[in-house]
Amino acid sequence: MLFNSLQFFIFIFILIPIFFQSSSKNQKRLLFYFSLYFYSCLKIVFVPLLFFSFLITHYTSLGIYSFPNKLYKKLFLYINLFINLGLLVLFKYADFLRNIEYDFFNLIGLSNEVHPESLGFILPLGISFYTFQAIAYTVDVYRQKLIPEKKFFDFSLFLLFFPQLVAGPIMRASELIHQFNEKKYWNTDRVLIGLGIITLGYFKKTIIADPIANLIQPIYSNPLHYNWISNLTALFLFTIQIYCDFSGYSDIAIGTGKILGFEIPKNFERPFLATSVTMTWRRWHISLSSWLKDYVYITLGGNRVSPLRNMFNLFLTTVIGGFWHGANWTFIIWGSINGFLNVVEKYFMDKNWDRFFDPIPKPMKILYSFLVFMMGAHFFRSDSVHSTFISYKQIFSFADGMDGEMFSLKIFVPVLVLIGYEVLEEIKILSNIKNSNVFNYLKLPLYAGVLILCFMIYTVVSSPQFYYFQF
Amino acid sequence: MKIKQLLIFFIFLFSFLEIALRIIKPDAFEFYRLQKQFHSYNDEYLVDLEPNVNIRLTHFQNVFDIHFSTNEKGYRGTKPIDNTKPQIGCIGDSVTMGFGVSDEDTFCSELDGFIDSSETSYQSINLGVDAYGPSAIERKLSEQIPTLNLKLLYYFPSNGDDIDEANFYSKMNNPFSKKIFKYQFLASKYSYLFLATKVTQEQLVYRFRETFLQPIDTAYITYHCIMDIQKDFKCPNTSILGYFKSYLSDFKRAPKSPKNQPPIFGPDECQRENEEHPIPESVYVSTKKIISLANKNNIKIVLFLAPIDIETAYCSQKGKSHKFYNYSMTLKKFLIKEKIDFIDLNEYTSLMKDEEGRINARPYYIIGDGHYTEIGNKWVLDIIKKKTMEILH
Repeated sequence: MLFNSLQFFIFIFILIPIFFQSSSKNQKRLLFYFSLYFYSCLKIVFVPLLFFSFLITHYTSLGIYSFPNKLYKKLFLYINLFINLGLLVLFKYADFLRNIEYDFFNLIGLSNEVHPESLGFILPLGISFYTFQAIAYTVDVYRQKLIPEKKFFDFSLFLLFFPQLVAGPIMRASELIHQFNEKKYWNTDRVLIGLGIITLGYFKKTIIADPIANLIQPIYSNPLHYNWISNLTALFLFTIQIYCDFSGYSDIAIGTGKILGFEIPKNFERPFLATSVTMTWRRWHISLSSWLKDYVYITLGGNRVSPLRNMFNLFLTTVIGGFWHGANWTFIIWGSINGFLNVVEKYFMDKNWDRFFDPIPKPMKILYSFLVFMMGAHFFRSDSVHSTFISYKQIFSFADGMDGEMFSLKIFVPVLVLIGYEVLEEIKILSNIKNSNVFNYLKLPLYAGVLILCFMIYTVVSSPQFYYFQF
Repeated sequence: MKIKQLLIFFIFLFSFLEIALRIIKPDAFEFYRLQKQFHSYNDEYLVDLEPNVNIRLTHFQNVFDIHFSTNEKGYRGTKPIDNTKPQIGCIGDSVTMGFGVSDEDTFCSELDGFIDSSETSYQSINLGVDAYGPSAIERKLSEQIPTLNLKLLYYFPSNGDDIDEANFYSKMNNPFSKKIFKYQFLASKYSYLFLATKVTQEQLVYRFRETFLQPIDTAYITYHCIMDIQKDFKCPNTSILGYFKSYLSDFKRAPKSPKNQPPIFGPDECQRENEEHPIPESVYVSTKKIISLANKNNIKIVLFLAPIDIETAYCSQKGKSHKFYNYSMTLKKFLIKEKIDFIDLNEYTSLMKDEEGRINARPYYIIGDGHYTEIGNKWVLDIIKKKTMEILH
């Protein structure tokens, strides 16, 4: 079931009244079965796979916890990593790796002539998210930061919890599991806050991301036919689209959790208002960045190694972050560009050279960070490295060509509204507005208006899937 | 105080929605809104086309992207009426109007400039309007014929005419319903919110069926088929192992089927024998009136029974007939009895061929729709042209 479907609207309207009428124990059961139904609606065939991963994670974590012998602990950890990462590689990266193997042997002249056929597996929804969440759980147990859940039901609810199951945020057991044990009560103020967050999420997804996706599609299909302004605008709009799509999903997840009484941490903190590439990454997909930091960067030695090795660790972590997004060279390049910029900025900071940039006005720094992110984002969208370069060529050679049909108020008005909203939040004025009497009067019709609008749109046409589902 | 708050709530809500819809123009609603813009309310036959329209209509799922224009009299196309020339008229519903194709691609517009044996050039006039049934057509013709110089009239009755007739008379025979229809028509034309609400309400019923009832039906049928329980529906010839295999195949991406592949239907799609389709009396009455109206004005009239769905064409191509054809077949009997000149286009479906030369109706129909594509309109045109040559040479 998608957040942007009619089914979800009905699903949540059925769940909420029953949920708050139930006892603490039954609330857990309800969440389990509703989450299971939520996932089954996406594609029922993946449910056994999901539970296979849960079972492996549960029992290997119990094994790590129960056996005092370090060797056994390590063995259980490796079994867990092998199976969970193995499934991820099989479903997500197998075709890509086979292609690399073919290209490599082709290059050294040892190739079979036939290009390997695609395995054709569908990427199980949410696999990149729940696999990382499961690994974090096991590693935390291994690092003795977490006592594993004894009951499989309690453990699987942690991974299955529907708001964050399919596209994150990647939550840690320590953040979520304890919340299931508290009885949740209806709280109108909290529900209104949740509703506000959900409204923002739907606004981003339905009113900004989806129309942009339709408008830029022809340009990305054929960048050579369009002039440089159209290519550049498409790139700008795609950057906005990917942000609105993913942060929109996170907002709906956080808001839904909030209504039900769960605290789900923020996944985006206005990344396009950051003043450096490093800060952009700290504010973008926060749960993934912190996962990578805790389970890759630190495992590699973090900053307790030589400066050169530290730089390498930072670079590699960012590349892995890029590769997590998709099995294509474009994602590796995207990760590498950002890794390189992160390393450069870190080098400047370590040398205390960043003070030379202090006199630069903040808007200029924001513009720099955004433009750098935007140029990299091209790799994120393009099907191949080649088509990315075609588009860059069009932009930087000021090429002539067709005009894209993107310059319309229907896109730019909502984008400007969002930018205004985020700027007000960044300069901490938004909370004053939210506390004002006028806003209190208008917030309900505003939330209702956006939600009705989205409901109407979803009823008439199936909205595109959330972009991050493919990860 | 509470009433005041409620009032503010609704005023703000409605204003917000109306303004927001007008700014963001969601593709799905914009498609319906633009269609509403080129229609007008008519007291005699309920709906007509607005004159002097010139818009671009893009389907919200990119099924088509067309130009839709009307001339000064509200006929499809841009050419002004020239009564100094003899005219060939086409009348019918959306198929005739050319839903889903640009002005220049409707079969009627392509008849424009037809030259007969005496070197006389004819102007073609497209009088088609979507959702027109025979009664609306008869009324429109009565009103329009005196203002035109029609010599030849092609009338395209359609499968859905019985439903159109029922809708038409439910409003015309009941002043209250007619008034309600008028107000909702005007409200949805001028208020974006009203239109969006109306479209949502219509789609909600469909979505509910698709999202909730169909899966229950499928689960019910699958369960009964697996368990081999007595049932009155046909099960696929599949064992439990077959179901399991099909379950496993869900792990893999379905291969992309090439564009314009011939349609694949089940073995029961085409019936062996036709059944009579109950046609309302008003259809017969109006059809007779249309014929006598044409005769009275010395206009040669020919009826065309067109397969307006891919299923009918598919079955016709196989030498069989589809249940959707029953309407045409029943009407055909009436036309033969009344000695009315007609052409059954179903007999020409073997001419529907794809680029590879295969008999294939797929490229001739808009996907998920009963209307003809550009090539579908060409197919109709070829047959009409032959008939026109016969009549005018």
